[in-house]
Amino acid sequence: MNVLEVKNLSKKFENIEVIKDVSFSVKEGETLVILGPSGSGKSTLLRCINNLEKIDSGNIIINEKEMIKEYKNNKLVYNDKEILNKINLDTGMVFQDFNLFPHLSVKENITISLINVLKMSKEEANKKADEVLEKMDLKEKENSYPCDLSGGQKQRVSIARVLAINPKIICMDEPTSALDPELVGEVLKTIKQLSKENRTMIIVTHEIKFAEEVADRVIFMDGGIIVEEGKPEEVIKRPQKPRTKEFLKRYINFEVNDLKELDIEENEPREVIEFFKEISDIPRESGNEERIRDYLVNFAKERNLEYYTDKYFNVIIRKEASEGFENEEILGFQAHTDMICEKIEGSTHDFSKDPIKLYQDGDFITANGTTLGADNGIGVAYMLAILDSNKIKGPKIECIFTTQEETTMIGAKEIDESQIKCRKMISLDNGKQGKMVISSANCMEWFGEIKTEKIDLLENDLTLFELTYSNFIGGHSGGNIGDIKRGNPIKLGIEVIENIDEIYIQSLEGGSRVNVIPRDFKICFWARENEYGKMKEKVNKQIRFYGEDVNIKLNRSDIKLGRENNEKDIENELYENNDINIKENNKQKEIRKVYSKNITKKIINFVNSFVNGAIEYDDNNNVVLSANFAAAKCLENSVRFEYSLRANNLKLRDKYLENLRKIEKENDIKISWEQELKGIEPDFENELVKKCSIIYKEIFDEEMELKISQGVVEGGFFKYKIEDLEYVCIGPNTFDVHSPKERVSIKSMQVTWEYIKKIIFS
Amino acid sequence: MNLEQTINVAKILFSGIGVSLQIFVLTFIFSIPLGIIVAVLRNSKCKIISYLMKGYILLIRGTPIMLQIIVVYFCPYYMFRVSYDRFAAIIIAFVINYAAYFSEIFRSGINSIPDGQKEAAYTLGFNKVQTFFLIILPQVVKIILPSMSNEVISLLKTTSLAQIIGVTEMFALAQKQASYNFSIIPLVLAGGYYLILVFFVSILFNKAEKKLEYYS
Repeated sequence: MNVLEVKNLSKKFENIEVIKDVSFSVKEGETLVILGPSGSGKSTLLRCINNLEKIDSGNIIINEKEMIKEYKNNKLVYNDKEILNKINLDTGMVFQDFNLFPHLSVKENITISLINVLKMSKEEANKKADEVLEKMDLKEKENSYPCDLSGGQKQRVSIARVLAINPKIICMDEPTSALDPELVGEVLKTIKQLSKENRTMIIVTHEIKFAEEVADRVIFMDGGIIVEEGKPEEVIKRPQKPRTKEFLKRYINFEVNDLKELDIEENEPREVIEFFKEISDIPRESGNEERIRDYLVNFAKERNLEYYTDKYFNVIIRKEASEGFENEEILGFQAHTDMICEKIEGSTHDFSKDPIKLYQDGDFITANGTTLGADNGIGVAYMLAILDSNKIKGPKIECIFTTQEETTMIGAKEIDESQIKCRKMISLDNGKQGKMVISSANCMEWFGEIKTEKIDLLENDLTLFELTYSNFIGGHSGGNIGDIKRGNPIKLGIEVIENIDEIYIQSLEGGSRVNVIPRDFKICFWARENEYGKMKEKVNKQIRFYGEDVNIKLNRSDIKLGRENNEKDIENELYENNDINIKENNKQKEIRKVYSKNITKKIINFVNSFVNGAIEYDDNNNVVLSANFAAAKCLENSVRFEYSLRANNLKLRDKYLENLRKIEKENDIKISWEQELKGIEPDFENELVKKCSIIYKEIFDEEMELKISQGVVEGGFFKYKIEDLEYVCIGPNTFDVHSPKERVSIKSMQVTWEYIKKIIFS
Repeated sequence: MNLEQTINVAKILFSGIGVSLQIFVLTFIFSIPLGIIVAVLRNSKCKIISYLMKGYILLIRGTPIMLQIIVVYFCPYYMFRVSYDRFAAIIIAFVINYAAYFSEIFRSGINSIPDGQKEAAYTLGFNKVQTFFLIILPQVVKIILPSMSNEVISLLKTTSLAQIIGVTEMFALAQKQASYNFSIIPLVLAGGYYLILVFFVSILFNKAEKKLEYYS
């Protein structure tokens, strides 16, 4: 039987709808838990049920009595007082802040309603009070006053007070959120006990674990509606709606996935997964690879394998050829030992000392709220499995474990190439099965500066404009540069003002790091009022192209540098000791500080002449040359630009560089910092590429896709040092690397493992 | 004045204390319930009632009590040519006056009780009257005791104004004796009596405050 039925309930507070058409029911003996972020309307819902708030539409039916009698002229009419009183006695409310009556003793708090409302005799009331106090384990406190009780005891008294009147439904509005953490337990225990006695309860709480234990059913509310409803193990453990997941993750730091610990016994390739688990126990944050190095060295020693290690914690381990393969060419594998360390908000994981526990979520191995380190721990695990195995027959194997790939690439940069014996190297640092990276970009990065000095703007008939771009997609300048919809706000901003003659830039700033596509840009400049129309037209065109998600704004400021201002200046000087005037005056002066027309022209010209984005493509539509105007910023005596260039083809690069040098010269750009990261030029014809492609086709009957990447890989440095090196990148499918959602497909690991074994054997 | 005369005057004044205390006690008894009623009506959701009460409080607090006493006593005479008992007039004037002051004290006390108390009482099934008398008022008393004691002490001394419509209380006697004996000693004696009375009233309030200290 439904003890409570809420039908299409809506409730507004001053035109803000806090509950929107909510319907649900509660059966007798059921414990319903309502979860949701603050402001989701859950407490208001409870208050409506207790008639502490008047509802705007809908109805509430408690124990077959309707709260709303009828609708008259679209207005709802509450039922007669008598019925409302009965409804009232059928519902009890436990408040967040207890609301005990401070002037009455614990016992009187309970008996006062029994005597005055239920008209019990004093003896009966006392008996009843004793009974409920006994149950709440508060007998010895019966003569205390609320001010002498702890928060937990107060809340238990308030529960006892409600129990004594024996309502059909007990509502609890965040019964533990006003309590000190150490007192929460006793109250939750009490509520659990009640739940077991088959009391009908509706509980609004933030204690997810408790909700899971006590609830028969869970409702998740957000924004005034019921987002999700169901058994606790469904809503809490396997939420379907993104909002519920978000809430469970963000607000309470509770892991939502139905994670179970990874069972090594049950999954293949067992040998690889075993090693992956072993290295996951070793913290291996970038720059902190000593422990994993020691582990690798031990691994080699235990197996009597030849090894080398250096001060960068790089390790090279070699395994002799199997019988019959002695004359085969040595085959190299490579992976990096370090990992990106990211965790979800609120996670207590300490990457410097805590092991990463592995969990299984369907086909995926994942960590719990942290990066997994599959990038590139899976590669390390493969190499360990290869070195460890006696079954894999093949040539001499050389495994190269490098460090700090995620940050400085110092491992690959500084490794002693004379220690690298192989000339065919397979990197396992690729996250896409079926794709093989055969070329990486040569990446050059620069900070360039134009020396500047600000001058005072003398023209008085100009207007100050502010042009801002924000919310662009951005992304990595290696992986995402090919996508024209990402745009470059710095270029776009300059494009708007490029043709204005009378212009003085006052300030500009945009972008973040040199390898990131900029997401925002802001430029302030003085120009004639009548330029507004033309600029607005250009801005509107940009808005049309980049869509509603980005923010582009062109504002005219009210500040006019007319005569009035000059008068004001004089006035200010008259009252020189007036702080506000001085401030105002300084502000005025600050605003008048601009770059000269000449400097302004140079800034505009340089940004404008810089060819940005994907520039050249190969026949398969891979980007092979791209440039990124990453950032622009005003410094004290200069304007600094950060930009980069990525090229898979050095001839194309050199042509571009020639042009870049020219425009740098034209605009007096001084290079203040630069670095070059080496790349690998595409070579579709080398033996390793061919061999790997053929074997892939043989096993999977599918063409291996050869990928030309605009990213930088460690192979670039090896290739730079060892000219005749052949280098490819392969690996199993990984997803969302560098984020706490990082996961690797077990099936793909198995496929890749078969593939690797085949490459070694052939 | 010699000692004998002084003792004599003291005796005469003592006989006047009775009237003073009568005014004090009667005003106290009637003005407190009236004050509570005014406080509750002042909080009323009905705007007319609330404004009426505001007007009443403004009028009473905004004019001298002496004028109020005169108006209360003489008005019926000038309007309807009826006169009535002076003592009754004093009581009426004082009750009307002090109810206004008390009501503001009560109102501040009532408003300082958290809404949660009313809500808890409502969910436990109390009706409004029960909620007020069983839950709200007992807590209000504790809160307002200090400011009540102030007002009550002031009432005790204000009883001396009764003489302006010819009610002979203690201070009126003192003034008479002063001019009769050509001495201010009777006035000083009257002051002494007020002091003693206030002392006892203060003790009573302190006791009450102590008694309510059992909770916080």
